[in-house]
Amino acid sequence: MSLSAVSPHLARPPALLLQQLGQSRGGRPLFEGLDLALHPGDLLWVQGRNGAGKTSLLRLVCGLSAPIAGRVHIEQELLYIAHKPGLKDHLTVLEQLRSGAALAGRACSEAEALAALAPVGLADAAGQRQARLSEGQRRRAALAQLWLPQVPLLWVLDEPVAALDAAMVDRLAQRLDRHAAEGGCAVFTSHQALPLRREVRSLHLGEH
Amino acid sequence: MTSPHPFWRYASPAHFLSLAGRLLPGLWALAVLGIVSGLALGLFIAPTDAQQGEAYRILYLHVPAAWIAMVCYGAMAFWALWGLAWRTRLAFVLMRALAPTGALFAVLTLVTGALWGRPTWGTWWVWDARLTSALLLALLYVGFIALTAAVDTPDDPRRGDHAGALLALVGALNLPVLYFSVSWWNTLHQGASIGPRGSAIAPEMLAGLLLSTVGFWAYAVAVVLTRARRLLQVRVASEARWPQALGSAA
Amino acid sequence: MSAPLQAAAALARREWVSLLRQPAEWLTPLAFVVSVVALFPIGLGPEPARLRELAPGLLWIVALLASLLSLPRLFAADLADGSLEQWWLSPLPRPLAVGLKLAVHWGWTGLPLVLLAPLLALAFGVDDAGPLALSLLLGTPALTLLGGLGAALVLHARAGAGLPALLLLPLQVPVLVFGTTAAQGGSQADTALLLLGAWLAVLLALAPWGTAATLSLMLD
Repeated sequence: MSLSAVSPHLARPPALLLQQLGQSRGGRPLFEGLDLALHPGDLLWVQGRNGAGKTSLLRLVCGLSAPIAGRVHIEQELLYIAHKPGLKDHLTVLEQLRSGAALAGRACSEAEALAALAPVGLADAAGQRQARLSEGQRRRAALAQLWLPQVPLLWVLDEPVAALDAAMVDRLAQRLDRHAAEGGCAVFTSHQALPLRREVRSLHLGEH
Repeated sequence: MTSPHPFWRYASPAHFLSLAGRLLPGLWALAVLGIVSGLALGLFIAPTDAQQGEAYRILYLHVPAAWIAMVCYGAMAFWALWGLAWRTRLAFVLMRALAPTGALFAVLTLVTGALWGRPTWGTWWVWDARLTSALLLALLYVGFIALTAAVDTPDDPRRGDHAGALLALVGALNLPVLYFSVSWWNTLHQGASIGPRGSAIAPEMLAGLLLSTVGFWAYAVAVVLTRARRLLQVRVASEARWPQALGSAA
Repeated sequence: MSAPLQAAAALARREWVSLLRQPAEWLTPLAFVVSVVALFPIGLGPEPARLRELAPGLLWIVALLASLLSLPRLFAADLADGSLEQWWLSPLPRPLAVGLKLAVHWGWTGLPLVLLAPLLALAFGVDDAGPLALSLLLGTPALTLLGGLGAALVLHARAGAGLPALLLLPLQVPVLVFGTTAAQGGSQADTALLLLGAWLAVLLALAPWGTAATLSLMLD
C-alpha cells in the first residue's frame, strides 16, 4: 500500500467519485450538482447544520439510497459506521465486534478483536452485554472495528466523536491520520473539529 | 437527441391534466346515459326471470361491480409496476387514484351479493367462491389504502408510493392463487353458488346488462381521472414550495 | 472461508443467539397459541365430537395468528438500532440474508408449533396428529415467508399490530385453505398437501427476493 511521493494523486484512480450528485429528502432538495473526487490519503469533513443532508450524503456514498440526480462511483470496499451503528443489546462487546467484522466479510480472531478493544478502552468490558453500556461506551464499541487488522480503504463515519471524551477524540484522530498515511481515505461528519495532523478537505452543505 | 414518442408527453403533469380535462365531460355523460338506460331496462322493462323472480335484477349492479373491482386492481398493479420500473410520478398517482374506486366497487359487489342472497337463499350472506373472493379483494384494497396512509410522510409521497406499489404487486401475483384456493375450498365443502342460471337471457336483459356495464365503467374511469387530477395537482404544488438548496465543495 | 460464507455464518449465528438470549420473542407466540387453544373449548363447548371436527381449522387459524404476532417486528428491531444497514452492506446476497433471518425465525417459532402439534391436537380430542403436524411442517414456513414480506412492507408504517394483520390475512388465505384441508386427513388431504408443497416452493423461490427488493426501496 505504498504511495508514490512524487505524484500521489495521478498514480491511482479516486477511491470515491461523485458526479453531479443531487438528493432530496421529504420532497425538499438537499443539494445538487455535487462534484467530488476523493483520493487515497484524503480526509473529507462534511459540515452543515442539522438537516442539511450530511447523513443523506453519507448514505448515498454507501449505496444505501439512490440519488435523484448524478452518480456515485466507489472503487473498493468501504466501512460505514452510522450514527446508530448497529449494536445488538443481547451480544457482548467482543461478540459484536467479531460478528460485525464477519458480517462484513472480514472475520477476525478473538485475539485480534481484543487487541482492537484496547485502544478504545473496552478491553475489560469485552465480556459485557451491550445493553449495559453507556452512550460513550457504545460509541467507542462501534469505533473499535477501526483498529482491526483488516480494514477497507474507504471509511464513512457519521458523527464518530459524538459523546466521546477528549482523550478518545485524540486517539480517533491519530487513527485517522495513520489510515490516511497508509493510503486510506475517510469521509466523516462532525459538529466539532477533529485534532487531525493531516490536511482535511471541507464540504459545506446547506446555506453558508 | 431524438424526441421521445408522443405517448410520453402524457407523463408530464400539464399534458395529463389537459387530456383528462377534455375527456371528463364525455365520460360523465356516457356514465349517466349508460347507468340510467341500463337500469331502466333492467329494473322496469326487462321481463321477470322465470326461476329467480324479481330478485335477479340486482345482478345488473352486481355483475358490473364485480368486474370493475377486479379490473381496477389489475390496473393498480399495472401502474404500480410502471411506476417502479420508470419512476414516473403519474403512474403512482393513477395507482393511488384507483384504490378508493376499486374498494367502493368491491364493497358494492358484496352488498349487491347480499341483496341477491336474501330473497333467494333466505340469508344475507353466503360463502360462495365469488363473494368470498370479493370480500378478500375488498380487504386487499383496504390494506393498500391503510398501508399507504400509514407510510406516507408529509410532503414526500415516495415511501408511500413504493410500499403501496409493492403491496399491489404482491396482491396481484397472489390473486390467481387466491381465487383458485377459494374456489377449490368452495367445491370441497359444497357451498352455495350465486349468479345467473343457465336459463335463456331475454334481449332486454342483455341490453340492460350491457348498458349498465358501459355506464358503470364510464363512471369508474371518470371518478378515477378526477381523483388523479386532484392528487397530481397537490403533488405539483407541494414540490413547487421548496426553494433550491445551496451546496458547495471546497 | 470466503467473505459471503463468513457473513452468512455470522448472520445466522447472530440471529440464533438473539432468539436464544431473548426467550420472550419466541415463547410469547407459543404461549399465545396455548392460551387460545384453551379458550376454544371454553367458548365453543366441550362436546368432543364437535371439537374434533373443528380442530384442524381452529388450530390452523391459531398458527396463522401466532405468525402475525411475531413476524412484523422481524426487521423493525434491526432498523431501529442500525444493524439492518450493516447486513445490507455486507457481501452476503440480500435475498440470502433475508432467507437466513426467516429460517432462524421459523426454527424458533414455526418448528416448535409443529412439535407441539400432538399436544394441541390432544386438547381437541384428536388422536392422530400426523396430518396436522405434516400440514404445519409445510405450512408454517409458507406463513413465515409471506410474513417476512409483510414485515418489510410495514417497515416505516406508523401503525400498530393491526396493519400487518390486515395486509397479510388475504394473502395467507391459500395457505390456510390448503393447510386445513391437509390437516383434516381424508381423501382430499393428499391433494392439499401437494398444493401446499407447491405453493411453499413458489414462495421459497420468490419471497426472499421480493422481500429484499422491498427492503431496498424502504431503505432509500
